[in-house]
Amino acid sequence: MQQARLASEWKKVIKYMLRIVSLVHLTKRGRIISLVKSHALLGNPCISKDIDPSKNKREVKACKRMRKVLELDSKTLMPKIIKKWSLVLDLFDKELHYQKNSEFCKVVNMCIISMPLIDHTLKTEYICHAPLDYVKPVVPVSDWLTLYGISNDLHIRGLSEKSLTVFLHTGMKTDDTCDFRIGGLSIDILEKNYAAQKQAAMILVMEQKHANPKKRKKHKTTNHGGGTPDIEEGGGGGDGDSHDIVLATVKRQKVVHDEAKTMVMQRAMKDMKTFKDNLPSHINFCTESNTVSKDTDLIEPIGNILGFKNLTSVCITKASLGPFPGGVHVFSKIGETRERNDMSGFMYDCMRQLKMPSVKTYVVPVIWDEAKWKMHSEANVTPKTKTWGNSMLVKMRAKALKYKKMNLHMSMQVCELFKGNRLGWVKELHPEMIIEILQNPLMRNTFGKTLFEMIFFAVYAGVIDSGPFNSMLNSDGQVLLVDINITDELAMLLYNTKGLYRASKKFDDKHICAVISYVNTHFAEAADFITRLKQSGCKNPYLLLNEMCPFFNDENVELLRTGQKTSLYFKFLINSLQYNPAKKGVSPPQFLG
Amino acid sequence: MFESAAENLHLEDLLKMCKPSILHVNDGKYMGMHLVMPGETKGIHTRIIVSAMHKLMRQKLSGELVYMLGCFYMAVSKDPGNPQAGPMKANMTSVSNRFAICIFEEGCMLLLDEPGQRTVVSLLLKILVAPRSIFNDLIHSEMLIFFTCLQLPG
Repeated sequence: MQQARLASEWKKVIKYMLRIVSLVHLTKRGRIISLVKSHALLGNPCISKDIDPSKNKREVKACKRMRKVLELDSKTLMPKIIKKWSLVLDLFDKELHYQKNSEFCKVVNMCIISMPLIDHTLKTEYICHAPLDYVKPVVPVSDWLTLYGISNDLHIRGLSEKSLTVFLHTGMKTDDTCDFRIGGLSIDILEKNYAAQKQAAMILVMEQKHANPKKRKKHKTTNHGGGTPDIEEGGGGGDGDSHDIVLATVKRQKVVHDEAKTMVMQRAMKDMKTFKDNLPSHINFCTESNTVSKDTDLIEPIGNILGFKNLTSVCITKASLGPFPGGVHVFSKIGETRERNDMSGFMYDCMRQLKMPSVKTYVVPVIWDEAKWKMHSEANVTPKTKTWGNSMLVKMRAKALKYKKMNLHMSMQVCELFKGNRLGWVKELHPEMIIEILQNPLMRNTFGKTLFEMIFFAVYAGVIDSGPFNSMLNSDGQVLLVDINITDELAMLLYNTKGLYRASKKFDDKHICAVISYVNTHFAEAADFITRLKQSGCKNPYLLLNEMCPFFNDENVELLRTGQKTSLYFKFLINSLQYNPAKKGVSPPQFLG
Repeated sequence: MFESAAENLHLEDLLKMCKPSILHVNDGKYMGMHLVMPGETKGIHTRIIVSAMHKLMRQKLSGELVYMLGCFYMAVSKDPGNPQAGPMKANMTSVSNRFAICIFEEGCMLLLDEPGQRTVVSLLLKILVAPRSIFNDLIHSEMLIFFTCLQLPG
C-alpha cells in the first residue's frame, strides 16, 4: 500500500513535468541569454544607427550588465535576484538550496538582464483557464543520441575537434523561429557570431591543452549528495552557456573564466607576440659555452642580499659591462629569466622617454658562483634578510640546476644604482627622509608627480606587484618603479578587476595625499603624461579598458586636463586614488559615467 | 491550471509508454545511475539525460523530452531506495536542477508572458519539493512498521 502511495507521488511529478513541457512547448526558442552575453563581449557592439535610440540605450545597458555578471558569484547575485524578479523568489527558498547554486543564480540573473530586450510581441500568451494542448510522448528514433548531438558532443566526449564540430553543427542548433534582435542583428546572425566565438575559444583551449598536457585530468561532475550539485568543471553533461568547458581541475573559481573572455585573451596573445617581437633588445636564451664568466668575475657584491627568489644586491663592477665601466656601483640581479630582464629593460627605456625616473640596464649571461654568494649572504645577514637569505640560496641552487640541465646560462641584469630606499620601509627606517620630502613643497610635488606617474605606468604596462615595496624613493622625492615584471594573460584576468592599485599592499595615506595634491594642482600636466603614456607603446595587451579602468579613455583624459573637479570622472579618479586595496571585502570603485 | 480529462488521458498514455523503464544504480553492470528506456538494451547515464534535456528543449522536440523524463521518473518511482540519500539523491537532484536551469537557459521563460512564467515556477517548485515529501512518507511508513512491531507479542 505504501509503495502504491509513493508511486502515486511520483506520478504527480510526471504530471507536473508534462504540464511544464506542454506549456513551454507553446513558446518560441532562442538561447537569448547566451546570445546577449556573446554580443555583449564583442567590441562596441551596441551602437546601431538603424534602431530606436531608447532601445539602443536599453541594449547598451544590458550588455554592460551582462559583462559584469560573468564575474560575480552567487552571494553577489542573490540580492539582485531578490530585488529584480520577485516572481522566481520561491525557487530560492532556503530549503531548496538554490541560493548557493551559482550556476542557477547566474542563469536567472542573465535572464533578468535580457528581459528588457524582449519585445511583448515575442512573448507567448498563456491563459490559465483555457485547456492546455498536451504534448504527446514520442519514442525517439533509434540513433537519437548521436542524431541530436547528445552523446557525441564536447559536453559528453570532452573537448576534441570532432566533438566541437558536433556541438557547433548539431548540439547547439536551436529551433530558430524567434524574431529576437539585438544591435539590429537577427537571431541567425547572432547565433553565427556566437558559434564563431565559441569555436575560437574552444580551439584556444585545445591549443593550451596540447601545450600543457600534464595539466590534463579526467573530467567529471561530482554531486556531493546535497541539495544542489556542486559543479566542478565542464565535461559532465551540462550543456548551457553558464556551464563552460574549463580545463582546470580545481573547484570552479568565483571569477569565471569563460570562453568569451578567452576570446579577448586570444586577441591579446597575438598582440603580445607582436609586442615581444618589437622589443629592441630581445635576445634568445644563450646556450652554454666556455666564454661565459662567473658572475663574481664581473661584479663584487658589497650590499645586503635583497631578493628572496632571485639573487639581488648592490655590487661594484669589476669589468666594463655594457654602459657601465669597471669600478662603478651597480645593482645586480641573477636568476630572473632573460625574457623578463629584457622586458624590464624595455620598460625602463619607455620610462626614460616619458621623463620618469628610470635606470639603465644591461643583461649578461653568467655562471652563478654559489660558494661566494653563500659566503656573502652569511656575512651580511640583517634582521630583515635573516630568513630570506637561506631561502634565496635554496631557490637559486634549484634554479641553477635546471639551467644546467637545459644547457643554458642564467642571466644577470645589471642596473644603474638608484640611491634611495624602499617606499614601503621609508616611514619605519628613514622617517626623517619622508618628513623632509613632505614638508618641502617642491619635493612634495616631485614625490606626488613621480608616484602618480609610477602608478599609472604600472597599470598601463601591467606591472606585477607595483606596490610600495617595489618602489624606491630618493632624497629628491623621486619614485622609481623597481623589480619590473609584466603580467601575463592569467594574472591579468585578476589584475583587470583591481582598478588603479594592482598590488595587495597599500601606499601610505600621506604618500597618496601628495599624489592627490599633485593631481588637484597639476591636472593638465598629469593629463599630458597619460597622453604621452598612451603613445609610448608599453600598453599591456591584456589590459581591459573598461569601467574598472577608465583612466586612459580620451574623454576622461580631457576632463582631467581641463581640471573639471566637479565632473564625475575627476571625482572617480580621486576616489580610486584613495581606495585601499589591502582592505578586505571592499572592491575598487567602478566608473559609471 | 485545472486538471482536465484530456490531461489525465495524456498522462495515462505517457505512464503506460514509460512503465517498462528501469534504473540501474551502481549495480554489477553499471557504474552510476543509468536509465534503460523501454525497448532499449543499453542504459543511458544521468549525464546524457542532462545533455539530452538541453538538446531536445533547444530543438523543440517536446514529445521526446516528455517521453525521456517520463521514463526517468517512472523508473525512479519503482526504485524502493530513498530519494533523499546516496547516489539516488545526487542523480535525482542533478536531473531536477538541470530541468529548471534548462527552462531558463533555453529561453522558454523569457518568451512566456507573466502568468505563464508564474505557472511554470509553481510547477517547478512542486517537482523540486516532491522528493522531500516522498522521503517524509517513507520515514512515516518505516516508523509505523517499527511501532507496529513493538506492539506484536514476542
